[in-house]
Amino acid sequence: MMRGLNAAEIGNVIDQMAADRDGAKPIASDPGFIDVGGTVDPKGFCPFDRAGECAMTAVDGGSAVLLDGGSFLIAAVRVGSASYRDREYLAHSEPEFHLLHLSAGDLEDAYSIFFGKTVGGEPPDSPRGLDEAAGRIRTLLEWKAVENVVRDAEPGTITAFDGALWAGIRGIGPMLSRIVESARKKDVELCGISKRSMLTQHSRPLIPAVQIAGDGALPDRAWHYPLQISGYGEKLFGEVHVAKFHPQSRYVFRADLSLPDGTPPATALGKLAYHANDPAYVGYPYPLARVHNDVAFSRSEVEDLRSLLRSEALRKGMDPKEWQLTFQDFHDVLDKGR
Amino acid sequence: MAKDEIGTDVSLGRITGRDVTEIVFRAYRNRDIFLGEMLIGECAEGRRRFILRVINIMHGSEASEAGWAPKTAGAFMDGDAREEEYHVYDADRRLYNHVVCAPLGYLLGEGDDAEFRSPKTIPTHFSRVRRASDRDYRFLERYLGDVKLGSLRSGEHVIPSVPVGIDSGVICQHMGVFATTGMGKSNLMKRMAGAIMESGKAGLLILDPHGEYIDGGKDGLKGLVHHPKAGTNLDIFVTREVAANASDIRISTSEIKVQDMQNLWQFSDPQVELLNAVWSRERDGWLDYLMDNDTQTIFQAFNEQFHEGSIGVVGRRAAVLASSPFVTRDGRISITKTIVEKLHQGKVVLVDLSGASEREELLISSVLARAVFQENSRLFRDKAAFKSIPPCLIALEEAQRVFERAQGGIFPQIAREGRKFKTGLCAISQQPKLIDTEVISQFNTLVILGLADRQDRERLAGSARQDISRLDYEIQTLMTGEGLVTGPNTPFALPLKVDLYETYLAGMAGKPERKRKSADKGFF
Repeated sequence: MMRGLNAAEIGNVIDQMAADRDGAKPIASDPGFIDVGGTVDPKGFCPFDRAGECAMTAVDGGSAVLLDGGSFLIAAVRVGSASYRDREYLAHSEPEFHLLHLSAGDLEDAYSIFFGKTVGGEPPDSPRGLDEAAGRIRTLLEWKAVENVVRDAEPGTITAFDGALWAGIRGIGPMLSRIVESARKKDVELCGISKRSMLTQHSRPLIPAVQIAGDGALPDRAWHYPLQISGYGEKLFGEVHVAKFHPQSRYVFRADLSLPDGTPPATALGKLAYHANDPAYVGYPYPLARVHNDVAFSRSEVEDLRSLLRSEALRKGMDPKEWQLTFQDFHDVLDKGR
Repeated sequence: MAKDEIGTDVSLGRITGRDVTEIVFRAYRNRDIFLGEMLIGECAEGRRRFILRVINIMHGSEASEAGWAPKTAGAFMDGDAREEEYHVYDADRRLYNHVVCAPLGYLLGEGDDAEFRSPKTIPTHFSRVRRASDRDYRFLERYLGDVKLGSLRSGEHVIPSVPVGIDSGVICQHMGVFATTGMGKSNLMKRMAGAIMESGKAGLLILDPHGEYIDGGKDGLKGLVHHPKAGTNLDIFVTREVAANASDIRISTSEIKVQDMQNLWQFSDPQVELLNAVWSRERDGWLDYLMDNDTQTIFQAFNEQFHEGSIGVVGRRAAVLASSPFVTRDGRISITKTIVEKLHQGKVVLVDLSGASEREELLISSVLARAVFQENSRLFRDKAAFKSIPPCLIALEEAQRVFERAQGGIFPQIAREGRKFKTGLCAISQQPKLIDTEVISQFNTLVILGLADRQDRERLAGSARQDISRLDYEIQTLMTGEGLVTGPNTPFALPLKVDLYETYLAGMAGKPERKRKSADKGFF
């Protein structure tokens, strides 16, 4: 047994989990969660077939805090896309890369610049901290990348991104409207795939419940389950489904769709399913996996960037000791001694 | 990018790391790379060209998760069971091969001026790896030997433009040819004999117990008599009837030594003493004496010093030798002198022993080898005469029979002393593990064909002039006719594809005659 752990506490938390499953208390007004209510209807699952050869572009972003000085931080954000025609990778442009210096003093200004360049105009609010600012900027850049991809997309291309068609940042609604409208006009199917969903049903995670019901209703099939979500009109820019893209997949995903007029959801989901049969990522559209890996920062990249920043700082006259004292963190010492 | 053919500059991958003893590179998964292949690791700015020999190939993937590959294979298998096809996206990017290489050395400079250096440093980070081209092999010309055996081999590819052989200048520093049955020893020997017939730079005595060299022995195979130079540069001596111009083998009793007899039978200490006593008294007539006198006469002649039983055993064995059709008392009709003369003329002398018993075969072989060695030793004292003779090589099949011990018999003696007297041995064996380590260490040139037995390979690895310990698996997987040559003049173990003798002969048809070079200019 782990030091300090009372065995009874394990039993307690499992009991609480079981109690919640039978009737959890309503979630307090947390804007992150969407409670769909109702029950999962086994008759509501729709099977769909994998499409034939088709084009897909995926967009994603990655970020990393390189240096944390307490009152300021330096972060890196990288946003990119990956395009496939049939199952062959097409040439792509270099990912967009930003090094951000965010300090408590000029947070508003920094955020405002990125907001203006992506959404346009002035932001209606400001981030509540350095980490939130970095996250928001990454989200804005991701949406900008989606906008650019849709603008350049061939008709019939499915454009997917990591996340939901959901205005999670105040003031971003007009940009999402623009993107959705542009996609519809260009006959481009737009789809957000969420690796982690905040959807709940009676305060319990919705996706596992849907998956259990769907696998029972349509075993060995790809399926989707449309969700009725009301009350979020100003934030939601598409229809929401839970989808299983491959009959043998162990994962299902929330899929937010914005489709050209007359395009049924099964058509768009079938295209995603076509790209979801890489044996290492069965059931997840591979282009999203590729772009995720392309933009993510590896530990060695973070180390390289830190080194570059330090070299430049010293070259410009900063005292090495000052650098060390500014960014030292005693957690590092503790972790090394573990 | 150039096409993926041998000799082109096609890129195979980039070096990822390791040390001076081992280099690893990431290779494109769809480029064929074979064990034993020689590749070039090109340093940035062309500073050095590292010659790398592939010693292992493994699968690699970019996945950081341990167990990714088995898991993915499991997905494929699941798909197979359901007749569902999976598609690996970006396969060329995500999948690759890890190729492990032994650095053989590096080249400084270009073309004929390229200087070979042993691998005391490593290539620059991420050096590009490509197949070696003729340009890279050019430096080898000075090491490839003038007695051509075949062509350079790189993995499974043969490089016909780069001939590989042994150096006639070091032929009397002894050589060993080792291979499991069927891997091409006889073909190699015929090819070597052919090259010597062409060049006349050495004398080659082939002791053939199986009768396979005269005419090839089997339908479809050619023998030494089919060589265009056989009429002038080949002499054949036989122990059986053959359909070729050949002389019968005769050795005289005076040429047989006590040592020879000891090689054929086990003798007790008193019996050995008796043999030596007879030798001391009768010298070259010792064997005739034993044959001409009965036990009692000898018993009395040696003042009853030896037991009659011992005399009886020695006498009976002497009679066995005397009864051999290849042994004569008349020294004038012995062929040994003729054979030595032929060898000194730079000829190939083939002694077909397939009509002899194993004892007779060993006896004749010993007598002939001694005749060559003794004559060359004698000539050594006459500088001018010695200079005029070419190096002589005695090729002996099933050599483990005479090399189990480093002492005793003429062959171990030649192994120890022969090089000084221009007398080399070519020991042919499929069981080098049975040859004494000290003897093997005397063989400066090794030609290793496929050897299945690990102990055989280990024995050779301990004695080769170059480190071949890393090539163990390659030696194990050599195909017929593929081999490695190590020698005092080779920069590393040279991979070889031996010419098929019949193909070599076909290639010679219509080839213009070359002027024969005089034997030996600079032995001293």
